[in-house]
Amino acid sequence: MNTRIMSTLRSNTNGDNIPAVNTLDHIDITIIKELTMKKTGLFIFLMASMILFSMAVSQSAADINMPDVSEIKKWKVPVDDPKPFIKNGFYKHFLTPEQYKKMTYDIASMKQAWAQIVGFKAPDVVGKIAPEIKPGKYTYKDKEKYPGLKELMPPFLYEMFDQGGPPLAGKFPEITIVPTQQYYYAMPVAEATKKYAGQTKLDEAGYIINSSYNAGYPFPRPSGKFKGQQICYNMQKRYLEFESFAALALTCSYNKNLKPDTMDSWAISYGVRASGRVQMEPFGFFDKRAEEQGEDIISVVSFFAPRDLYGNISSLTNFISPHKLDNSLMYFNLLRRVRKMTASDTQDAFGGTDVDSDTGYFAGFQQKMTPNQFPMEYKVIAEREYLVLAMDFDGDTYFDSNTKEMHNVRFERRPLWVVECKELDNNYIYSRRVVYFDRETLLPIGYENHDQRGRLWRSSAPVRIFLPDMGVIITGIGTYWDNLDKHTTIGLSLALPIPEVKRNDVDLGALIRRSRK
Amino acid sequence: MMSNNRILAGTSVMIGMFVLLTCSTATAKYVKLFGKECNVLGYASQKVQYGFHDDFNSYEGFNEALNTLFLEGDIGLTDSLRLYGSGKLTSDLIYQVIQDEDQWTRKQFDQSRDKLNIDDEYWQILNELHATWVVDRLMIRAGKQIVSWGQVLGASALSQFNPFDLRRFQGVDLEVAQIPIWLLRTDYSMPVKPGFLTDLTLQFVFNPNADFIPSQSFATGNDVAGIWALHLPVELFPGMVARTGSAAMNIQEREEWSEGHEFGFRVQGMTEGGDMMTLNAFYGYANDPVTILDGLATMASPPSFVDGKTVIHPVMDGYYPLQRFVGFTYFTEILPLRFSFAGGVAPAVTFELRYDFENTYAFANPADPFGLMYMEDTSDAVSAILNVDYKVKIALLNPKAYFQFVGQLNYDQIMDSFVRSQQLNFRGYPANYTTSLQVMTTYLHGKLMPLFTWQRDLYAQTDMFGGSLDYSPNSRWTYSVALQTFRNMDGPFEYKDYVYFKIKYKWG
Repeated sequence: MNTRIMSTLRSNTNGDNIPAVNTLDHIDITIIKELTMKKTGLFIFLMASMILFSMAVSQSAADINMPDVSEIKKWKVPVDDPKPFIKNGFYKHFLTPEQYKKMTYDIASMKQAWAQIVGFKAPDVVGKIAPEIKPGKYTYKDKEKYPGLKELMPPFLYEMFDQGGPPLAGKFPEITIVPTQQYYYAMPVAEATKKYAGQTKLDEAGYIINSSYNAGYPFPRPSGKFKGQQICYNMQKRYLEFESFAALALTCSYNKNLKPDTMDSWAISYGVRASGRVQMEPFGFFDKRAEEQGEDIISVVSFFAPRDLYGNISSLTNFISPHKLDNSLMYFNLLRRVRKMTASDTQDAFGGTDVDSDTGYFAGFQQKMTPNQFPMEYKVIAEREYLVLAMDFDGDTYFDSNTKEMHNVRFERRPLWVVECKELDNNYIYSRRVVYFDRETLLPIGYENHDQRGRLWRSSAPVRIFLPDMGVIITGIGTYWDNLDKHTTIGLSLALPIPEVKRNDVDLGALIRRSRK
Repeated sequence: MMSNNRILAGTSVMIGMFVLLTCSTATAKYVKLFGKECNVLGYASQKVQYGFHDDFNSYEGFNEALNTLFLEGDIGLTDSLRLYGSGKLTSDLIYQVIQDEDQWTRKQFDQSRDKLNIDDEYWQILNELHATWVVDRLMIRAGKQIVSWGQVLGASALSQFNPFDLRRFQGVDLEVAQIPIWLLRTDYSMPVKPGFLTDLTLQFVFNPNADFIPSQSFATGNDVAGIWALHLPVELFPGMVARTGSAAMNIQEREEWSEGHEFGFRVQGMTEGGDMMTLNAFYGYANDPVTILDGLATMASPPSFVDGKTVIHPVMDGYYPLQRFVGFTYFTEILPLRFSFAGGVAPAVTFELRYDFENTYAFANPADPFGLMYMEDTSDAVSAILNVDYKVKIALLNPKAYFQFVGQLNYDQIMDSFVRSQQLNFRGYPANYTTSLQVMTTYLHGKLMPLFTWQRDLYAQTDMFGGSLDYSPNSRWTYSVALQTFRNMDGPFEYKDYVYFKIKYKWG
C-alpha cells in the first residue's frame, strides 16, 4: 500500500494525471446492483454446490482425527478447574481401546528396565537432607517452623511457596509432600536407551557427533569432563509427550497487579519427533526427508485466540546438527501469506508471554548447543536431592483466578543435577541459566535464567503429568515467571497421541491448508 | 446507496452482536452452530484525527472520526470443509459532528458525505465469505477472499488480485485495506520435487469476474474525496494557478462473468538450505483505470470562496487495461552478517521481481501545446523490491527486546523510452526509486510498541514520516497515537499532516 501511496506522491503540479474516483458514480447504480445480485447469487449457488459435494465425500477425505476443542476443554482447563482429568480417564476416552493398548506396557517391567538404565530408583537415594521434613500437608506458614524446607527447596520455588499476592501469580500457599516415587519410561524408550547405551559420542569440545546417535536417551548416566553437556543433550533428545501428537495449548497471563493481560489464549499444535522414533510408527526416522535433512522435531501451531493472533500459523523444524539453523515459517493472517522467518531470532519472548524460544515451553533448555553462536560453558554445580514439584498422576492441579494461587500442588524429594549454563558471550540475553534436571527422568523440573547484570529474570516450574501405564510424561500445567517485569504466564498443554500425523500435516503446504483466511 | 432503513438495520445487527459478544460468557470462546464449533472474533475501533493545516484541500482541526466494527468467524462443517466469513461496518462520524461548520461546508467537505460517511456497499459490509475444502495435499477455496503474493513484509508488487481501499489514506486498519473479491483458488503440495527442494507447492487462482470491484483510489475534489482530496494545483497560464476539483469519470468495465477473467499461477518452493522462492505468472486486468482527459469544465462557484482560485473539473474517460506479468521472489538469511554484538540475529533478505508485458499508459500528447489531447501507448515495465529485515539488540535503549529494522528499496522502470519520456511527470522517471525504513521495538513486556516509518522518493525528493505508539495493556484493548507528516514539495499530500488517537477493543 505504501508503494502505491508513494507513486501518488510523485504526481506533480501539471495535472495531467487525475486519479480515479468511484466509477459507480456515473453509471445507473440500480441496474448494476440488480445485475450484481443475480450473478453473485449464481456464484454463491456454485459455492453451495461445492459445499454439499464435499460434505458428501468428507468421510473419505478426513483430516487428522483431532477431537473438538470444546470436547477437550470439558476435561480440563488451567484456570479454576480442579477436575482430575487423567484420573477421570482422559486418554481412555480419546484413544480407541486398540490405540490405548498399543501405548501401554507392564508397569513392573518398565520400572525394572529403567532402574537398570539409570542405576537407581529415586526413592532409594533421597531422604538424607532435612530428614525431619516428612510427607504431609504444609502451608507457607510452616516455613518458619521447618527451616529444613529452605535447605530442601530450590530458591525460586521456596520464594513461590507463599500466599497469593502481587507481584507474581502462581504461588502455592499450601503443598502436599508426597513420598518419592520411581518414574520410568515406556518400554521402547528403555529398550532403545539400553540398546544404544555408550554409542553416542561427543567431539573434543563436548558437542554431539550426530551420526553416533540413534535413539533413546543418549546419556542416561552422564559422567566425565562433559557431564553438563551430556545432561543438556538428554533434554534435547527428550521423550516428552508423544512421538506424533496433537495438543491443545491454553494460556493466560497476569501483570504485576495480578490483572489478566492475555485472556484465554489458545492454539492447536501438531508435531512429530522426526528421528529416534521408538514408540509410534514409523520407527527411526519419520520419513526419508527427515533422514536426509537430519530433522529432529517438527511442529505446526495454529493460533486461535487472542484475536490479534487468530489465523496465524507457525512452523518450526529443529535439526539434529548443531550447525544447521532451525527452519521457521509463519503464515501471517494480516498478510495472507507464508513468510520464512529468521531462524536465529530466538531470544525475544513470545508475544506477551514469559517464554523465549531458546528456553521453550517445556520449561528448560532448548538453546542450540553450538560453538559457533553464543557458546556456553556447562557445569554441574550440584548433585543432590531437592524438594520440588511432583508429577501429577491425577491431573487436578489448577490455577485459582480469585486468589491467583496454584492449588492441588504436590512436592516430593527428587535426586537432581543442577547445571549452570554460563554464556560465554555477554551479548546474549542471559548471563547464565541454572537448570534443575531430574536424575531419574533426565528432564528439567525448572530453571532460573539470569540477565547480564546477574539478576534473576525468568524462571519456571512445571507440574508435569505422569501416565504410569504408558510410561509417558506430558507437559501439564506450567507457570512461567518474569521476575524483573513481574509478570506471570500460566499454560496448560493437553496432548494426545495422533498416529495419523503425516508429512502433509507439518510441511510448508500445511500452513497454507490450515489457514483460516 | 442503501436506504436508511437498511443501514439502520445493519447497524443494529452489528451493535447487537457486539453487545452479545462482549457482555456474554461467549466472549473469548467459541460457540456451537449446527452442532459444530464456530470461532467468533472481532474488534471495534474508534479513531479521532486532527489536521494541522488550513488549505483548500485540508481542514485544520478534528477532521475524521472513523469507527470500524469488524466481526469474523469460522466453522468446520466436516473434517475437510471449513467456512470463514467476516463483515465490517465502517463509518466516519465527523460528518455528523461538524456538518454545519463554516470551513467544512465552504470547502465542500460536507458533500463527500455520500462517499465517506458510511461504507454501505454490500462488498464493503460483507468483507470475506469463503469455503475451504482440504483433502490430503489439495486445498480448494472459493468465495470472496484475499489472495496475496510476495514475501516482503508489507505490500508486494506481486499482490495483484485484490484491489486496495486507499480513500482514507492509511486510516483504515491494514487488515481491511485490501478488498476481498470473488475468487476460486487451489493449492497443491507436490509429492515429488526436484532434489534441491524440500517443499514444492502449486497455486492456481481464477477470478471469474463475478462482481467487478476496482481499487478505491486517491481522488481529487473535496466533494468526493473529503479531507483526503489530492492537492493538485494546475498552472493554466503563467501566473494563473487553478485547483483541481472532482473529476467526472467515464470508466468502462468488463461484463461480469463473461469478460474480465483473471488467472494466476504460482510455484512456491523451499530449498534444502532453508531459502524460499516463488515463480509467479498473472494474466488479468489492472485494478486502477488508465484514464484520458476528455474535456475540462471550469467552475468558480463555491470552492473559489476559499482562496479565489479557479477550480477545474476534468472529464476523464478510461478503462481497466490488460495486465500480464511474471514474477520471482527469493528469501534468504545472510548468516555471515549474524553478529553476536548486535544480538546474533541474521538479517533476512527478500528480493521480488515483476516484469510486466505491454502495460498501457496514458499521457498528454507531446504534439499538443496545450496538453489537452491525450494518447495512450504500451510498454513493458519492471518492478523490483529489495527488502531487509534485521533484528538488532541495542541494550542501552532496550535491554529486554530487540529493535526490528525493515528497510526496503523499490525500483520501477518503464522499458519503452518514448513512453517513459512522456511519463516523466507521473510514474515514469528514468527509473523510480523509493526507499522506506521502519523501526520498531517493544517495552513494558510487549505492551508498548513505538514504531517509526520513513518513506522517500529519491527522484521526486518527497518524504513521508510517521510515528506511532501503541499501548496494549491486555489482549483486549489497544490505545494508539500516531503522527504523520509529509514533505511533499507542493505535491498531492501537501498540507495533509495529522495526528490521530485511536482506541480498539478486541474479542475472541
